[in-house]
Amino acid sequence: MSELSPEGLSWGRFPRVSQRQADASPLKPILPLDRLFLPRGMGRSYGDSCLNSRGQLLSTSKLDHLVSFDPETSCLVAEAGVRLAEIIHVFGPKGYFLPVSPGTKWVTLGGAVANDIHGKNHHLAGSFGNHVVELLLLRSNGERLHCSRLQNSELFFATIGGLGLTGLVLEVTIKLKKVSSLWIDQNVTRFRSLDEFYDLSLQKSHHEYTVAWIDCLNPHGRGLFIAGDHSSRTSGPPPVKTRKLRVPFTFPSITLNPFTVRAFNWAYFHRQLKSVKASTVSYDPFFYPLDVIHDWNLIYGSAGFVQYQFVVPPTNEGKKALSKVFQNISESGEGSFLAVLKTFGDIPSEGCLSFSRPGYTLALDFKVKPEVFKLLDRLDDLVFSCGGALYPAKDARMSPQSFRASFPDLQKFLPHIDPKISSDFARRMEIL
Amino acid sequence: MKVLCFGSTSAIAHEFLKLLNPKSSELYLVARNAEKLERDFKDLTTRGFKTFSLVADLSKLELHENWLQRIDSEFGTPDLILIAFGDLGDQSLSSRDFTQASLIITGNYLAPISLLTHYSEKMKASKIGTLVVISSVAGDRGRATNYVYGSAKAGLSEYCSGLRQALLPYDVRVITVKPGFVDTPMTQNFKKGALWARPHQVAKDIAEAVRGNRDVVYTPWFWWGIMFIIKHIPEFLFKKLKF
Ligand SMILES: Cc1cc2nc3c(=O)[nH]c(=O)nc-3n(C[C@H](O)[C@H](O)[C@H](O)COP(=O)(O)OP(=O)(O)OC[C@H]3O[C@@H](n4cnc5c(N)ncnc54)[C@H](O)[C@@H]3O)c2cc1C
Ligand SMILES: NC(=O)c1ccc[n+]([C@@H]2O[C@H](COP(=O)([O-])OP(=O)(O)OC[C@H]3O[C@@H](n4cnc5c(N)ncnc54)[C@H](OP(=O)(O)O)[C@@H]3O)[C@@H](O)[C@H]2O)c1
Repeated sequence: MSELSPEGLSWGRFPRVSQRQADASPLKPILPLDRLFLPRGMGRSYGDSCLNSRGQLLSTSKLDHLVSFDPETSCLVAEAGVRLAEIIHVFGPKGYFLPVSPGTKWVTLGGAVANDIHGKNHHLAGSFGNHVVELLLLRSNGERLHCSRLQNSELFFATIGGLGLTGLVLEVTIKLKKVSSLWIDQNVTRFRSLDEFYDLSLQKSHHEYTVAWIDCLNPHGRGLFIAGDHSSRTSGPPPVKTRKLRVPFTFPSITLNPFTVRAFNWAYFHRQLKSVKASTVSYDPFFYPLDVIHDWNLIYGSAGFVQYQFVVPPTNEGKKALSKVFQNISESGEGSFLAVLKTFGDIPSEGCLSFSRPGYTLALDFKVKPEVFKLLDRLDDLVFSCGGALYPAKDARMSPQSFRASFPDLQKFLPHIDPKISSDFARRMEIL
Repeated sequence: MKVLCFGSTSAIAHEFLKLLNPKSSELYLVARNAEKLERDFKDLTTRGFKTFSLVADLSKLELHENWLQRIDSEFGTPDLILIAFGDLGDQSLSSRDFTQASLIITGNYLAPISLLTHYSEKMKASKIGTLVVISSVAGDRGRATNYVYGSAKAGLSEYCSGLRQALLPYDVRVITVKPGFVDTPMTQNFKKGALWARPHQVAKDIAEAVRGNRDVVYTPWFWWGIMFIIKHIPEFLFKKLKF
C-alpha cells in the first residue's frame, strides 16, 4: 500500500486529492475489503471518475498478461491491466489493430471498457464495447462471473461504460481488426465554418477514420478535417518509433495564457497552406499525436485543467446549440488549447451508461479557474437544451442533474453497483 | 534461437523473454510455481512464441539430473540460457539457523552451479552459446542486512568470472548481470525510493548485453559507480557503517 500524490491524480490533475493505492495481485486478486475500493487503470481519465479519496484505488498494473489469441476469430483474451500500446506492439506486426482506439495508447483494457471509449472510427465501428465479446468480472463477494451478451448479460451491459463501479474486470475478450498495414493514408482538408464541417463529415464518411481539429477562438468554427484509412502500402520501412519528449516539471501557470493559446491555434490552422493535403503517415502520429510528449498534462501548471466533452444530436437544434457553444467560447476568450470535433455514427452503444450516441461530439480543455466554470455552466444549458450529454471520463464538475439527463438508463444500472466500490465521481453524482 | 530460462517466473526474466522476437525464438521455461508458470506460458504463447515448460523446484539438487535429461531430449542444446531464479530468504532467521542459511546457499549458489556445470560442458562441445546469469550487487560486498544471500551471490559472480575465462577458447560467452534495487515480487515489502528500477528496464539492459559484448553488467548502469565506491571503503570504516 502506498500513499500517492501526483501519480494518484487523474490526467487533468484536478481535483487534487490524496489517495491510497494497492495492487491487485494476478493470481489472488483478493479485494481489499477493509475500505471501499475503485479499480484503477492508467489514470488517463481527466476528472474524478478514476479517483477515490475516501476509499482506496486498486491498481491493475500487475494484471498485465495476455491469455490467448484465436486467429480464426481474431479474438484476444487479455488481463484487464494490459495497455492498448502493448496490444498494438504484439499484434500490429501480425496485421491486426485495435477495433477502436482513443487518442492515447496509454490506456488499459479495463479502462477502455469502463468508459466504453470511442475513437475516430465511431461512425463505422461504434464504441469499444461493441467489440468486447466477454468479460471476466470479480465481485467483492468473491464471485468470478463470465459476462457476455448471452451470460450474465445485464451485468455485462452494466459493466461496459460502468465507470468501474460493478466489480473488478479481470479479463477482457475483444475482437481485433485485420488491417492491411499500420500506415495510414491521410488527407487533411481546411474548413472555415461549421457548415463546411458538416458537409465534409458527410462526404468523407466512407473513410475509416475521421476527426476534426477546430480553432475555438474563431467564432465560425474554422479548422482542419482529418480523414484516414489503413494504407495498402506494405513495403518500406516499418512505421517508425517516434522519440519521446518529456515535460520534466509542472510549468509555471503563465505558459498557457490567452495569447499563447491564440497563437497556437492560429499556427495550427495555418500549418497547411493548401486547402487539401494528402500523405501517408505511421499509425502513431495519426492516432496518438500527444503521446510523443510524455506527461504533456503538466504544461497546464499546478492548478491542473478540466476537459469538457459533450455530444449533441445530429438535428437542427443540435447544430444550433453547437454554433452557440462556439460563439460563447470565442466571446469568453477562454480558448481551449486543443479542441476536437467528431461525428458519431448511429451504431448503438450497448452499455447502460455509454456516452457515445449519434451526433456531434466536441472535446475541449481549459485551465482551471473560476471564469471557466461559469462558462461551462452556460455551455451545459446549451447542451441539455437540445437533448445532449456530457462524458464522465472527462468530467470534474457536472451536476447530478446533468448526469441524470445524460444517462436515461441510469435506473437499470444502479442495482449492479458493487457494494464495496466507490469513486469520487459516483459520490458527487449521488448514486452511491 | 533456442532460449532456456531457469526461474522464468521471475519478473525480470519474463520481461526479458518478452523482448525476444517470437518469429525467431523458441522458449523453454522452468519454474517452481505451477500456477505462475502457466500464466506466463499463456502470455508468451499468445505473443507467438513456441514454448515448452517444466515445473521444478531447483533447490532440489537431487532431481536436477532427471530434469536436465528431460530438457535435453525435448529441446536439444539451447543457444542462450538465462539463470534468473534467486531467493532472498530471511536474513535474521538464516543468521541464527543454519538450515535456513543452507537453503539460501543451495538456491542461490549450488543450484545455479549444478546447471552451469551441465550446460558449459554441452556448449563446449557445440562450441557456441551464451550463458546469462543473474547475480546481484549484493554479492559485491557483504553487509549485515543480507550477507547470507550476498555471499551466495558473491560466490556465483566469482564462479562466472572463472567460467568465462575457461569457456573463452570455445566461443561460449558468460554474462554476469548485477541488478541493483528492482521492483519485483522478491522485494514487494521493501520501501521504494529513487534508486529503484522497473524489471523492464533491467530486462532491456540484459538484452543489450546479449547483443553487445559486455561480460559484467550493472543494471541500471549507475550501480557500477555506487558499487565501485562501496567496494573501496576501507574495512575498518565499512564495519561501522549501517546500511
Ligand atoms: C490524451 C488522451 C486522449 C484521449 N482520447 C480519448 C478518446 O479519443 N476517446 C475516449 O473515449 N476517451 C479518450 N480519452 C479518455 C480515456 O480513454 C479514458 O479515460 C480511459 O477510460 C482511461 O483508461 P485508464 O486505463 O487510464 O483508466 P483509469 O482512468 O485509471 O480509469 C477509468 C475508469 O475505468 C475503471 N477501470 C479501470 N480498470 C478497470 C478494471 N480492470 N475493472 C473495472 N473498472 C476499471 C476505473 O474505475 C475508472 O472508472 C483520452 C485520454 C487522454 C489522456
Ligand atoms: N529484485 C531485486 O531487487 C534484485 C536485485 C538484485 C538481484 N536480483 C536477482 O534477480 C533475479 C530475478 O529476481 P526478480 O527480481 O525478478 O524477483 P522475482 O520476480 O521474485 O523472481 C525470483 C524468481 O526466482 C524463483 N525461484 C526462487 N527460488 C527458486 C527455486 N528454488 N526453484 C525455482 N525457482 C525459484 C521464484 O519463484 P517463485 O515465484 O515460485 O517464488 C521467482 O520466480 C534473482 O536471481 C534475484 O536474486 C534481484
